[in-house]
Amino acid sequence: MQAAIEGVLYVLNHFPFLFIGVAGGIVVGALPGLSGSTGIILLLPFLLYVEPAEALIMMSGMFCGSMYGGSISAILISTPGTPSAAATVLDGYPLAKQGKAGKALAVSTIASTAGGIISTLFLIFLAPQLAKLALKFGPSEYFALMIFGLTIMASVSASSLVKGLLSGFFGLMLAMVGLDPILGTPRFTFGITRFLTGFPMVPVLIGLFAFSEVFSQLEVLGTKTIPHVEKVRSSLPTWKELKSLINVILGSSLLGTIIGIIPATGGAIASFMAYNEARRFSKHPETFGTGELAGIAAPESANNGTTGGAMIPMLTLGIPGDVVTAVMLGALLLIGVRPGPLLFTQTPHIIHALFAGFMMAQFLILALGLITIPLFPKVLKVPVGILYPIVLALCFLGAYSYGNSVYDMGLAIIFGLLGYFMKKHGFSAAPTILGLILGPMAEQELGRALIISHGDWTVLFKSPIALLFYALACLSVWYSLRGVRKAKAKGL
Amino acid sequence: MSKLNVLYGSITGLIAVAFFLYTFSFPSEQRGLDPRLYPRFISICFFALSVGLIITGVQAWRKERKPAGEKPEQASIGPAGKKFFLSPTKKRIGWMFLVALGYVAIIDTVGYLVATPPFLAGSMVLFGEKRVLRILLVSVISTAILFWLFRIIFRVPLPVSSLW
Repeated sequence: MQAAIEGVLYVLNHFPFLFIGVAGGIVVGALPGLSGSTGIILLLPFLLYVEPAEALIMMSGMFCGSMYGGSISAILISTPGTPSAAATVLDGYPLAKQGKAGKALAVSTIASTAGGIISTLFLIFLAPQLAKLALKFGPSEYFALMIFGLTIMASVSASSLVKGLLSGFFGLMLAMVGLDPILGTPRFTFGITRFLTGFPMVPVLIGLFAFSEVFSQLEVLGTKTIPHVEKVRSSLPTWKELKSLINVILGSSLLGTIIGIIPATGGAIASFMAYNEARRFSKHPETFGTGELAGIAAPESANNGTTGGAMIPMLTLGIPGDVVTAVMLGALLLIGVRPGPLLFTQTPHIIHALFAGFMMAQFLILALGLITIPLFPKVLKVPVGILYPIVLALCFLGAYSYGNSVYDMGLAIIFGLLGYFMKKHGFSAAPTILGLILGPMAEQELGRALIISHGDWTVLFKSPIALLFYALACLSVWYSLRGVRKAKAKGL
Repeated sequence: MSKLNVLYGSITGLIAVAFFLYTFSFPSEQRGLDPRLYPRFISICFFALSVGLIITGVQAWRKERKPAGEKPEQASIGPAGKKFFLSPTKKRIGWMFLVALGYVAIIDTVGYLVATPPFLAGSMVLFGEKRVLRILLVSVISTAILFWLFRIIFRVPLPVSSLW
């Protein structure tokens, strides 16, 4: 209890960080083309100069805010700000066309808050238990866990499994450049001194996620005609309407939280599943798609439900739950915070601040969401001619401020172009980042396990926990292959 | 796309071979994990996946060619490549890349305050902004705000000119 109070007091004392994260996240999420991962990348230059707990609060705010923000453009202009809000378009935009955009946005805000609160409760109660279990892990268990984490590469692949795996292994290859993590042998430096330290994470992240997005936006410039956004007036749902949505919100929030805990799933899957379930259990399924409030409440509570869920494996095991938490994991490593069970025992104040920040972020979303509804159309009118050049300037600053080096700025552009080409030709950047983050960890744990066992490879298969992770890894690969077969059968 | 897959598979396959061959220069170590083992394993997997991409590319290409009398889809490297470099949107991307590279090239010499406004102005033009006054104001004011935020508040040592 005392820890919870300390956490709340910490967040209150550092409230501007939470506010910047949440407000920035709502704006970033609302703007089509920018997502939560881009938002966290834009925060990077600031994160390097603040306390780890403040950085975590800001990133959590950005994560939750952007997840909610995606619904704004989905409702107002029929363009989901983030992939997680795609299901919200189905009923949100028809409501906006009926002149009920204010009510649709209010329902989205309330449902998002409820989903966020439920998933935060799971995070608070489940994460410490999982961390306690993870404390028993040795190098062989961690190696098995990393293998499981790496199989996620297959699941986060965009269209083609082979291309997704190639992207992931490309990340593993990039991670090998530099010094060997066990013996310090220089590898793949090709005589270039700069390569001894490997590819720094910040420029690679900025390039693959942010710069590539800017290049993609240049490509579609002028081809998308955004419908005229009318004025929106605040309009809260009636008590009767809210009462009819309670079951949908609770069920979808739980579903979202559970899906969020499973690595490599994320908000998009959760929101569509919740939408389908809400329609299946509805007494009037035929009204879905025509402007049904439950059609907004279900996906929004589910996608915000994934936020707390996705944080559980990331914080306790160092395994990212989705793309945003993968970027967040990279950012945490940069600021010297290594997620894992030791984070809970060695720096509990950071964890308590994070829990309090995550919970307070939900209430801030509720307050900001409801108060600023009339301002949303203005946010969507920010000219791209101003927005993206400033995003670029911030990205450059982020790349530079990491190592005070122009070399990092150059790396960011090169990886940006590479990320753009990858995206354009069906190679996803998310597996590359997973490979870049998890590869060195897997190699290090494998090396440790073999040193402890004096080179006996069977040590990797002796622990029941390790065997469980291998089984999960096989299950993850099977799941991905099944998805590919299904897509082929449908002719996709 | 099928021919492009064959091309990408070949490029990544060559990278895998280069990485694999490079491992022969690593020293051997008997204790723990041999420094050559992990990179070789990753290179072999990367190579196998590259072969997989080539195979799927060839399979898709054959499928595309199957309908008799029909011309294959115009996804060959030649015309697609030409189309890529000639299309105005792609030209914009090329220009953006060059503007960004130019910015990086001069920032150490002329300093952050001098290099950033022209970079921002160039990017704004590429993003379709035509109003000169807006371009001037936004590029100068944003540079000033970013400089104040990072140099003064966060004390990031932004590049200063080496000329004066």
